[in-house]
Amino acid sequence: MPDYLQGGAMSQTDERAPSELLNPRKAELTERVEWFIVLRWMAVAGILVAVPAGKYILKLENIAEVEILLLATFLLLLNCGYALAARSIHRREMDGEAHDRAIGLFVSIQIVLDLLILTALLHFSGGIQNPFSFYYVFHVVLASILLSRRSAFVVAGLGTSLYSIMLLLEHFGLVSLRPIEPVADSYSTGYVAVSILAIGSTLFFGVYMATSITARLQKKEAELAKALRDVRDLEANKSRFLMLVSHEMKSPIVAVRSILDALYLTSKDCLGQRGAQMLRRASERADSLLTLTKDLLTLARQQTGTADAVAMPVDMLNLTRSCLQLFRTQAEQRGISLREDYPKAPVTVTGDPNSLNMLIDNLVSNAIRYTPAGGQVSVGWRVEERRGVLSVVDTGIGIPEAEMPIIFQDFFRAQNAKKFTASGTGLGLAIAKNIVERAGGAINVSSVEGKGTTFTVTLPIAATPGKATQEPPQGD
Amino acid sequence: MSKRVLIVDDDPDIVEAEKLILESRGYHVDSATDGESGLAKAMDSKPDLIILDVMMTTMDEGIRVAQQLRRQPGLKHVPIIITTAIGQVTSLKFSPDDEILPVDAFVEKPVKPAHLISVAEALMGGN
Repeated sequence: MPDYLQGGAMSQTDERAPSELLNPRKAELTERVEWFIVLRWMAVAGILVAVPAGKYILKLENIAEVEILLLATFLLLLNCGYALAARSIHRREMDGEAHDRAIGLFVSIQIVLDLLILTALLHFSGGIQNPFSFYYVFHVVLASILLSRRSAFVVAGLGTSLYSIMLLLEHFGLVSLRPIEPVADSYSTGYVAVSILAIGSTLFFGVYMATSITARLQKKEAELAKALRDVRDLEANKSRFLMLVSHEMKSPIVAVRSILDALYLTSKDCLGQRGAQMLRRASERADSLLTLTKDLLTLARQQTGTADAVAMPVDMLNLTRSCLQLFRTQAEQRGISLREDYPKAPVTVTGDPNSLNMLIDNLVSNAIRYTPAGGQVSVGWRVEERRGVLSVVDTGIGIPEAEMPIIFQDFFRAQNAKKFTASGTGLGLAIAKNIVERAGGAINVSSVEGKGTTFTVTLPIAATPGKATQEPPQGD
Repeated sequence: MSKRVLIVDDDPDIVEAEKLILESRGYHVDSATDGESGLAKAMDSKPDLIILDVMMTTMDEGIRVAQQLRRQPGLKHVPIIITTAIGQVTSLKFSPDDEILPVDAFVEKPVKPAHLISVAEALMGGN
């Protein structure tokens, strides 16, 4: 297999479920909520261990163990409820926005209840003395990840308020103090140990939370970078493939057409009318295949960014005149009158002369192709506010209104166009649009089916209208 | 004596087709399939017209052959037609005195027989 066909992106498989791949944010949120619930199981277990440890090992005898254990039980039951609710949210079929809203509400409820319970726990285990008040941090961190920035600040405000209310109530004696440490000159070993444990666990847990988020972000970033690389490789492979195919296809078609035409010239008299006609038809078919191949090559060049290597001042009026010269015979044969209208002042545009020539060629050949005998094609230039405006107006078959938005797409041919004539690749307008956009201009179309079509191209006029020159053709 | 045309093109089918077209008008046609042998044949036989393909072994072989031909005393004034499938008709003027592309005419491939004949006749005069 040639190397340009071995796309790295194509051979890789992604083992994630399709729904997750299609909606990564949904999957991400669901996972975070599960994480939140797991942390709460750990918190309940922590309380169940900490209370007897504090009381019997660290000798913090004033701990209100009954109230605290009741609170822990309440938290345990709540968490069971959360786990069930999470499962139900996950199962329900919801669109992205509804899912985000449901998760947001669910997380908010959990955070508010958690803060209330934490405040109550702190109150029953020493109030201001309890160094585990650091644990408010975790809720703030979690809220920052899962909720909006504004909500995270609200959570910070709520935490601060609840802690302040507890302290003020205790300070003014509105609730009774539950000191774990008698006020003295020195703290007991147990209190020091608890304080160290509190700060240590806060810091380490904080790092764990933050790093698990950044690790996730870094992984996401790497995945995105890889996806972008893959897409670019694929695009490059596609264009390389197109170029190769076009090149290799062109030579034999050129040879076939040359031979057929030479044969027609020299042998038409001995072939008889039918034979000669068939030879002509074969030549025309080879010609349309050649046009398609050339258009594909042009499109591939435009897509790889290798088109329009030249940017020079181009005299558009001269270019248009000589381009139309080549259509005169064709128009006459088809019974179409070809009109030209130019301003007195020159129209000089910066761009690639070959591409600009192709632009006019495509628009005019389309106009002639889709105009029935007796019709008219008018090509004109005018200058409007430092812009050159080209209009190609025909009295042809027009474009159906429903198909107007897609006429510039690759390979598109309108239904009535296909009926009118078999020739045409459906690439001409896509190419024309690319050329105009590369030259910093715009292309517009207006059409009435059955009446005719007008293409209007607006191109910026070169800043200093220098000597418009022409470039030798590049063989390909 | 009939006028002589030298075709230099690496595609033998193109050579054959162009040969058929020109021979039908009574020209004597010789051919070469690469730049080097084309140059040698031209110096040897002094044709009345040379038809050169642009892309042969290299992208611009035909152009370089044209430049070489212009430097040969006996071939300086022999008209040259350059052919290539450039994909787009351009409104260029060709001059045998051009430094880069010293050719008399350009004919796009696939060549249309009537066009090739009229260009050849215009450059050589009738046969």
